[in-house]
Amino acid sequence: MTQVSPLLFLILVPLVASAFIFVGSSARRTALIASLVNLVFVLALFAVFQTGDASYQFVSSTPVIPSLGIALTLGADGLSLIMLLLTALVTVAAVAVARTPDKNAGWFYASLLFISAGGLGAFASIDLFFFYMFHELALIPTFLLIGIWGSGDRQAAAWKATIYLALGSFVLLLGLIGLYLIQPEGSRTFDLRSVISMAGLGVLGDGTWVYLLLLLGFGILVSLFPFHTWAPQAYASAPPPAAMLHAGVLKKFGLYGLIRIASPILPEAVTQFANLLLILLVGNLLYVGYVTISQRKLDWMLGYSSVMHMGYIFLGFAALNVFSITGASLLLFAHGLSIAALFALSGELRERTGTLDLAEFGGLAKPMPFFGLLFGFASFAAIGLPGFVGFPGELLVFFGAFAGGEPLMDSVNGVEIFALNNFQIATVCAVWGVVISAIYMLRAYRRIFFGPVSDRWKGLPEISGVPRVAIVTLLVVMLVTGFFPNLLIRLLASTSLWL
Amino acid sequence: MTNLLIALAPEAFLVITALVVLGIGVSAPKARGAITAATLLGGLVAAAALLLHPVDGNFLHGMVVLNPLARLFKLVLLGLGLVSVVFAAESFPKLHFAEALALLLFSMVGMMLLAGTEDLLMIFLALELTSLPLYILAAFAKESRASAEAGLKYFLIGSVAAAFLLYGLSLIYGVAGSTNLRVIAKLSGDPDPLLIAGIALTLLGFAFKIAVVPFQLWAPDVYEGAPTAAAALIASGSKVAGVFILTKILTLGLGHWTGTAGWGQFAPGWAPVLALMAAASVVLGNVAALVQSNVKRLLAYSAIAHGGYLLIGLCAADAPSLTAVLFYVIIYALTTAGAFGVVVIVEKQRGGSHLEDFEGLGKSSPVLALCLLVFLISLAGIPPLAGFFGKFYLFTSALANGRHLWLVILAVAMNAVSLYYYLIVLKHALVLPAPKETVPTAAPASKFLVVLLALAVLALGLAPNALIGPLSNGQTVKNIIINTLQK
Repeated sequence: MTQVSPLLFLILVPLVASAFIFVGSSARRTALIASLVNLVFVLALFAVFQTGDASYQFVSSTPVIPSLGIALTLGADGLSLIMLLLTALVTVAAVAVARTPDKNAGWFYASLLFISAGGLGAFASIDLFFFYMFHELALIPTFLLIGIWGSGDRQAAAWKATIYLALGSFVLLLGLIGLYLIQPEGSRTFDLRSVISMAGLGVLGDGTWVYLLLLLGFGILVSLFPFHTWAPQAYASAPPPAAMLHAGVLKKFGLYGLIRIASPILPEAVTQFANLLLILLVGNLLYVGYVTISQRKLDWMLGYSSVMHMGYIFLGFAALNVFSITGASLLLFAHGLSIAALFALSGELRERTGTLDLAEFGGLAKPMPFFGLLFGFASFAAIGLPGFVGFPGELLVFFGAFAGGEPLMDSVNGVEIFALNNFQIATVCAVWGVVISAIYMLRAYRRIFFGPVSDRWKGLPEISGVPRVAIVTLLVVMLVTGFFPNLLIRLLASTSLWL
Repeated sequence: MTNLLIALAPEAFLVITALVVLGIGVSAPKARGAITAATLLGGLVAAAALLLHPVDGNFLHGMVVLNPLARLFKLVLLGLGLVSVVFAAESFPKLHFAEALALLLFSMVGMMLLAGTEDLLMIFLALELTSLPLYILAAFAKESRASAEAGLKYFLIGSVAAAFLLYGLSLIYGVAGSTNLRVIAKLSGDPDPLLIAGIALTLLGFAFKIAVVPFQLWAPDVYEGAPTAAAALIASGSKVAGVFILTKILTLGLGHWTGTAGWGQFAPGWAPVLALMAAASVVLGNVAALVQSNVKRLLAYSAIAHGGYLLIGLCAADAPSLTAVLFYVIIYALTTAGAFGVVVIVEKQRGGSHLEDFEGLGKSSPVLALCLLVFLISLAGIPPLAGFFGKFYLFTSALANGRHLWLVILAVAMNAVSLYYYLIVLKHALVLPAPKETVPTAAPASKFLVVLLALAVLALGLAPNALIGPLSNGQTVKNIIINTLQK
């Protein structure tokens, strides 16, 4: 396999663009061009992707350390392709809405591009070593983005997020090393495809502790309850483009990894610890949900909501069937776009008003009707209303999760009756989560845009120009894939073969 | 005989260079450019001799042993020494500059001899030849109290450690009846009590050399007080040579008494002792580094922690782990030398190496700040830099052995702690604004070298096989270092 995967170019574009920025080309323009090039590139990949083929496509492999079985192996199947599209879209939007800072503009845009490259690399890697490595590429840029250009108590937020993310990554690394070591000696490799086939042959050692390490490591990265406290603070302090990229793309890495690695390789362990995960994800949905309702500031509320919504995806993963995993994959995409749109809008709002305190707003739909329309659409998408891609995602997760686990029968007075198993109880809680997110999203929407408008806000400028186009694009993609979810699902159908 | 001459030619060239440099120093003490140039030229000739005329063989009954691995380490040590020579031009006092460089050269000779021997006597002599010039160099800033203190502290603790080591080596000799490691390796059966004492004392002596608990106390003061170029050599070259020869003594000579360091399955030997030293160093180094306000002190505590990581690999004592140890120590040395290079330049600009002196570096000198970023996050073990791969390789091979989970978990947890203090430095360099306008000082040679080292750290992170290949090719480590282990 000597040909070079087109995916490599995808990863190199942002890196080369950052190099250009460092040697002095105009930061914003270079970043925007690079991200647009990547978007076009991903769409081209969609066009040539063979949907009927369940295996990885665009594969190329370069041995890096043969003695350890590490190779830079790139490739994409339907799920990776969807994640790549998500990354490319959110990167364009993030760069588009970014306000060029006064100091160190070059470092700012280069950091954004590095996060993007990290996401693209992780989603395009078949080799677990590089899968990990690319994700780590984003760690330091995240620290810099929050620490230098953040708002509020940015130092504390940057530290907390970085320490949490680093700890999560190190635990994850132990898990991946564990996954390497339970393979039979002599054929150890980091190639995901080989590990999956070994799992199929049943030659792997006991993977229970590996799964626990992976769950903890990925869990911290995805802000699984109770390891979620870094996320809202970080997203509230981060500059909007960084929050968009991190909440929209990078955080999905953990769930993507669980779906990618744990479900085909360690399904027994997933089933064994399903109850633990169910308890934690209900914590995400209900506990964090109530915390979200009580937020008084829009950015914190969005931060918590992004934590809460991870619960649905965890549910889809835990149930481990074709419906639920397909739904979870759709939700990865849907949530990434909706949270990115919301963070972009909240950033625009702060730019105009200097505050995000919900109590100070009111009637903003009057000076900025189109802004209000966009915010409304983004909120509906986040709640998962029909018409947006979140809806089929949540629906599939609920259907799949309700069918998850062993059916439970109870007997009352000798009569066998149907009883809810833990998956079904968790699904009921998750449906309740939809109500919770409707409460806080719609309440925020009403507080900001309806009611009497105070004099302070009368002259607010409408959203326009590049940011407007970017946010509209995100919403249009969500609508199109919401009405025609099969555009994405037909890519995923082959993915579920490995279940 | 001629082969022996060729084998020792690089060291001989360095000695001649040192004499020439001393000569220039006497006749033209102010010609510092010429002195540096002569030193570098001598170093390059030595490197050429090493590369162009590779001889393998065993001379003088193991006093001088050359093989691909030894030559690789000689080359690395030579390179690290020359890096310090370049930094010396910025950080040594102007007075007696030639003497300083000559001492650096003598120390390099010691290190290189150390890399190519399998004899206890030669090991001790070479170690002393390495250390004595470094004691003087540490005290070389004659107007600085800190430097005098550093020199004295380094000398006193070093002498005590050398006494331990000499005593330990002589006990080993007493039991084995030979100073040759391969002869010592033939001993087997239950260890003589004297041998146990000998091993323990030897380990203590080396704890000083590679700055791990319990002989770590000198490191922070010496790193801080010594002229920075000397500190760079102490932190990089001296550590590489120490780790290399310790590995050789333990696995080549004393492989029968490895023992095991697995949790709950300790078996007597040197591995459990090393494991305790490793655990203590990893914890102490990383925790104490958190509160440092001087970057050189911070690097010293980080050096203690990294010494601990290295010992973890040494405990595992099988071919992959030892390859990982050797890989890691080289990467660590390159990275630390680079970080010290940044400190040298910042010190020259701002007159200090406190965290505040790094403020605004990202603005005043973006390239330097970027290099510092590369070095520090490589030390913290973040991909895609070489330091990450080093840790990854080290921990993977230590775990593959199946016994060292407790050590690796401890090390990984402490590594997460370490990210904090490395980021503190970066925060000062990149995030905080400069308190006052500073004029960037031109230090083109040092700056060029720092950039080169940063590129090397990046390149070895992206293509680690470039170094792992030579280390593990043809089973180098297996044949040269641990032939006795394969019982």
